[in-house]
Amino acid sequence: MRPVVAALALAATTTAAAADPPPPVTAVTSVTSAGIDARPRGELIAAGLVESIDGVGGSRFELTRAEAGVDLALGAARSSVTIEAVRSAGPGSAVGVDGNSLVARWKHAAVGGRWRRGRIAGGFDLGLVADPWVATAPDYPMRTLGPTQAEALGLIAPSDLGITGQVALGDDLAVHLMVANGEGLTQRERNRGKTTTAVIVGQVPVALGGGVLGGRLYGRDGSVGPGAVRSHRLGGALTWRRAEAAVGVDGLRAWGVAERSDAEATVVTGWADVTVWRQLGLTTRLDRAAITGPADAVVTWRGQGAVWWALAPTARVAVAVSLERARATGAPIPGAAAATDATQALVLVQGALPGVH
Amino acid sequence: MSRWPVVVAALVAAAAAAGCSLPAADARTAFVISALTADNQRWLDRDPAAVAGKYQRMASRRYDFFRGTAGLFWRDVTDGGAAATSASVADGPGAWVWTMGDAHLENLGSFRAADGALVLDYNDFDGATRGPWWLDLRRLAMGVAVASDELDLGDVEAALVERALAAYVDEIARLADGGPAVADGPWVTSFLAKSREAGDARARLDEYTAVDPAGVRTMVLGDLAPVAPDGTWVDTTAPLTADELADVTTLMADAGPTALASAGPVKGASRRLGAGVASYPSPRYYVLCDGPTAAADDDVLLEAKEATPPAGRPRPPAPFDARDSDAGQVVRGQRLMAARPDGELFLAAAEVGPRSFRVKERTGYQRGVELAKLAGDRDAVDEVVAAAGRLLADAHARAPLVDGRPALTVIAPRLAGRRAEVLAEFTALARDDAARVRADADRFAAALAERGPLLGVTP
Repeated sequence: MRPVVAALALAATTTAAAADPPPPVTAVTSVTSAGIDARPRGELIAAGLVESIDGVGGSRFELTRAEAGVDLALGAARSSVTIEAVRSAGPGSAVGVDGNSLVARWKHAAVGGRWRRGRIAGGFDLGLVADPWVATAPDYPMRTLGPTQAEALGLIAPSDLGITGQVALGDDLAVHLMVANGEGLTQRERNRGKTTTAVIVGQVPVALGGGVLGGRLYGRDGSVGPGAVRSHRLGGALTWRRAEAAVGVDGLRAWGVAERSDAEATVVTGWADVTVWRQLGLTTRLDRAAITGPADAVVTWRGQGAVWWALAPTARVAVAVSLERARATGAPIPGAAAATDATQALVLVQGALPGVH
Repeated sequence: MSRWPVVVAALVAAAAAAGCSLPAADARTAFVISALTADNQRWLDRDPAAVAGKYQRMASRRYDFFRGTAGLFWRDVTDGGAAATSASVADGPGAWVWTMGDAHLENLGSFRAADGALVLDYNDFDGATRGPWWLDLRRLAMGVAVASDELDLGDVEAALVERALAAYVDEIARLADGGPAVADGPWVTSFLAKSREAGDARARLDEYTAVDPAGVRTMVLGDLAPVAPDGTWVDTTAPLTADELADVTTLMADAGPTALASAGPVKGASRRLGAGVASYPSPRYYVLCDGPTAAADDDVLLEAKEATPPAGRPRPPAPFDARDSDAGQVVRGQRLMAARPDGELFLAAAEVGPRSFRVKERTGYQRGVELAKLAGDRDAVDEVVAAAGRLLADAHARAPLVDGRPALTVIAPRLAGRRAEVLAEFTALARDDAARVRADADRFAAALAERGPLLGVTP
């Protein structure tokens, strides 16, 4: 019976690219009678906001993020699945499956294995696997205020059909390699080329402030769509973190944006997250995105600040302000920065089980 | 356990060896292929043969390529696209007015209003949504420039573009100042008279349906016009499949209780093949209804066309989003922008699962402008081009802003006193935009020949 249960579990599931770190103390785990170690994951972010754009105000509630999954382990075999909520209506449309519904879709579904010899650990996953850039930023503290710019602008898809492999030296250095279709999680392969991604993750303790300095490097060579539009990426991130404070900066350069080979994008984010008193903290984030092509570049800035109260170690309620501005000559609608400049006030709630990416 | 490193290395190396990306030979060609594929993805999934027909039609005529590529235009002129340059009228608030999305000469046609008046107006609101009015005007000017290639009038591109732009600017000024309306010229008057004749003769009803010896009207099936030499449909009607019949049943039930009540019970239906360019693959049903009485002479022919979301356009931010279905947005846009909202008695939107259909009556009063029939007639061309500019101004001006004011209140101040500047600026833009369309059409035709009927996409 045990092999059958294990096979069914593995057939249904993925794991992210992380090199099998020891579970955090807050992780929820259980071991089934078949000897399968199961670790559930999940995150939910909901928001209510008022906003003003081009002189017109509005308000709405949003389910920014809702996902759940489970990592399974049986001996050296690993498997995990994640589902997430998406609105089924297309952009600009109000009719989706069964009338503009929030529906669940697979975000990850893969199976693989792990091995460890001394301080060296390795593994692989095959299926709908997480992009290692996204997967290696599991506790990105600014996610409450929105996804990373790379994800929001579609420069990196959170997952793709392919294979990932990773090798880690202790907890301080890991190398991830991913070979995938390059089409993200919404399309099957549409050209003859594969997309190859490499990520190096490292961290070292530093004397300054008693924190830990972490860094990530990201590179991707690929193509997307039937026109084989180039899809090359180069990115990096630096994070300094200690118990009550964290700051970081990350950036990504993209050659090829959506259907345009001749477009390039550069996104940079700086952020800080500080606990100021007991469960009370502050978060701030500044984003800059630039898309250049044959005509005027589009340059947008977004500044966000939030005051949060920790309801639990992985649950926060926050009150935030967000200002988004475009350069006058480089707005998404050329010359009409006011058309897209947004000012928002938000109330956000975020709750998570650890291990989400 | 010790085999895992070998397995991992072998799998990753094998995948990487197969994974050298292919460089795009030409960035613009790659863009055209990828963007068109994205815009037609829903049809590629459902009816790839129809997409092949659409591509074939677009390759055979440059103006049809222009008509099938509104999505390329919108990508090019926004978000840092290839032609995303600031316009002098773009500064300040008021960018999110109701726009046509695809205003061009062959989207003009005749209607009969409820009071019996025949009017010329835009007849295709498939791309209607809120957006920047000056980009709508830019697309119209670009289309006039492309149209000049096949009007057999020599080098008239700049003159025609300026005429359309001047008509737009002058009409906005007239609406702001309250001057007398521009009267129809002789060509439009003649065109409307022919439309009245066709409508009075129940032309469309008698083409797509027939009354049998027992006095019962039924659908006509088959080629009403011969299939084109390249194999594309021109005017064909086909019996419904079981799925299509389910579509018609559902959409009539959804739209029928209100807007279509006076059309009467459904007596028959067919699928129309060959209409349109951008919407060539879209399911388009002709539905025969019994009308007010059981007699065959008051039957009503309805057209239900599946709506598609405007491709490539900037999405209005939430405060400006109409929050409609695709067809609902088309209907709302037509009611707000049309010269005579009562020109479509049976205009309605209906939902069929995640899809939506725009429903309207199909009559002989509705006739579209065809460039081929204008070729060589400079006076007629001048009149139609001016009407296109004037009617677009009317459409923009009358539709309300979010706060209820007519959009004229934000458009007129931008154009006041800048006639010459705007004409020069937008004429230059149209010249460049048209040159890009011509080059793209050549790239598209070459890619189609090289890659096959679906540009290399395997359904």
